[in-house]
Amino acid sequence: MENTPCCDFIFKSSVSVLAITFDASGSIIRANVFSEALCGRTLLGTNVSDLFVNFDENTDILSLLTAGENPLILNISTAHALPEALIFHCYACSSPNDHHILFGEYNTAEMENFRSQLISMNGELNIATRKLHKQHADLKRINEAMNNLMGMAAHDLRNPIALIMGYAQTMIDFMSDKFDKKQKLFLNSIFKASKLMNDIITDMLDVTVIESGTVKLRLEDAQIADVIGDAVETGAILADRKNVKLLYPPPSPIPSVSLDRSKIQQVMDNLISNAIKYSTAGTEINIQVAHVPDEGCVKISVSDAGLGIPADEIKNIFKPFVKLTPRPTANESSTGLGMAIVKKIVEAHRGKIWVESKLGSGTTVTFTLPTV
Amino acid sequence: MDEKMNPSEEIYQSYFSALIKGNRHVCSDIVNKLLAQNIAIRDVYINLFQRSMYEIGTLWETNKISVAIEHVATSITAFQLSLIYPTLFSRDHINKSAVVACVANEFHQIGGQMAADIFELHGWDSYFLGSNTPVTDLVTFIGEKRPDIVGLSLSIYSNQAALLETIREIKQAFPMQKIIMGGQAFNHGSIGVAQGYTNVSHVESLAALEDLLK
Repeated sequence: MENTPCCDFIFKSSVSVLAITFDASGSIIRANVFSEALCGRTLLGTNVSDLFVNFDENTDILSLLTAGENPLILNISTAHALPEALIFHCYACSSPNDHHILFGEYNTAEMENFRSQLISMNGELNIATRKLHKQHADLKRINEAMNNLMGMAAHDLRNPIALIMGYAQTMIDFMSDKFDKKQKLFLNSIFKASKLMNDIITDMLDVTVIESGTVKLRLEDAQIADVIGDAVETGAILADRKNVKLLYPPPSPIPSVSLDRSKIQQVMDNLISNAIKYSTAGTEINIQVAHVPDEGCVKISVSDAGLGIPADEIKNIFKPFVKLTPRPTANESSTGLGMAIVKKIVEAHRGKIWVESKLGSGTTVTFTLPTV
Repeated sequence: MDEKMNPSEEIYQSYFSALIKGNRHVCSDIVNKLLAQNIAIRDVYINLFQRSMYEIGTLWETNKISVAIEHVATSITAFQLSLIYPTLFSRDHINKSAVVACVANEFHQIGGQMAADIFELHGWDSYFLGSNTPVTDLVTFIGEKRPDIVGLSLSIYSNQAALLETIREIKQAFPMQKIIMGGQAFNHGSIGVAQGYTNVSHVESLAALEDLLK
């Protein structure tokens, strides 16, 4: 067979059939162009067993080939270092009779199926990619429109609400002698409700500004301990009214932090007022700040001994307008946006924020700010 | 945005050379540079992508390149489209919509995809259903979206019967639906599908589609 014109053609041309002749020891004595191109190297003098990917060290490839049990499906290592399965036929030569001739061919049906599947999947991937980009653009448009709408609504509502609040406050402060008990109660309710609406509008405007990416931090190198101290002083008034103690032990020396003073003050005001809202009389709120050199940051925590938050609700704490099960202990009102804003501000400072809480024991909110 | 004219012949030849060699990264570099230079997206589509794909198609049809090269070139071109999508889909819509699909047994989808993108470039909300779209699925989708235009792509001339059947089914369900047809198949001979139907026309190129949308 090996000297027939057909065989000669296979060895001398670049036809896509692997053709190799090897001796009794497996040493390759003839290899066609295709086999060397497929394997990516010269094959003469190498051992035929080395062509194959042997998954089982106990398999004697040479014996397998020369056993005459054709066809064999075996994997060879290709020039691209990817294993390629070919269908092999191995025949003993007539002369010398300890030589063998090995033919290898692709399973064309399998290759065609593979090609077809690949083209089909590629096409589907293209469509999915297009759809994804389109949906992303649509969502971005909707988000911008909603933000604009919220901002516009908040702006338009601001003036009338400020008016109601202002007049209610004036009447309470300067005209209370003209009203009976019931009328004073009504005035106080009007003032409280309008103040809450004003707070909601302020928070909504904050959110739209932050979401639109237009908030610009006015960064300065500052002593975080001082900023916290200011917030504790402000919060103390609220805490006193509720007979809750604010504890802020003087921290150890802390390096400067690059921060927007008013925004971090806003964060602390929010965290402290939340802690007060969910605390009962006679309890304490601990505010701590520490430098964590290993993490390159300052860690600030506000811990209360209040109601705590159910474990399955902790993940919702930073979501806007989500009402948690625990309610403020003195029925204080809440805009539902405070923690969402706090998170945005912290993250704008490249910090992180998280909550630990146990129902009935209290809550600790911790945030970090990178040191300069 | 200051949009410049076509990519130069030199750039086209560099792109085509990389495309035919299957060099995706070089093609992407060229496209990204053109985008950074604010070359008009329609110029990239018509003078780079369409032109190169037509040239690849001709080489394949005249047996100068293998189908494997054609497949790789198509995949690379599809990848380049995804580089443009963040810009393309950020444009505002004008309250018109189009549905584009390749008829049954049509697996060459890149032309149809680019036609759908040209709609989007002109502010249309365009949906591309891809290759080998079953007629029933297409008719259902048209019923949901009620587009202003349905675009049908045909690349293989011998696949006319599928195009005819698709138009028949669409017109049966939506007699007044405007349909446009396009694709390489129309370069190989006349396709008399428009006879007997109102509002069915052939659009011979992406540039012609742009003229229709202006």
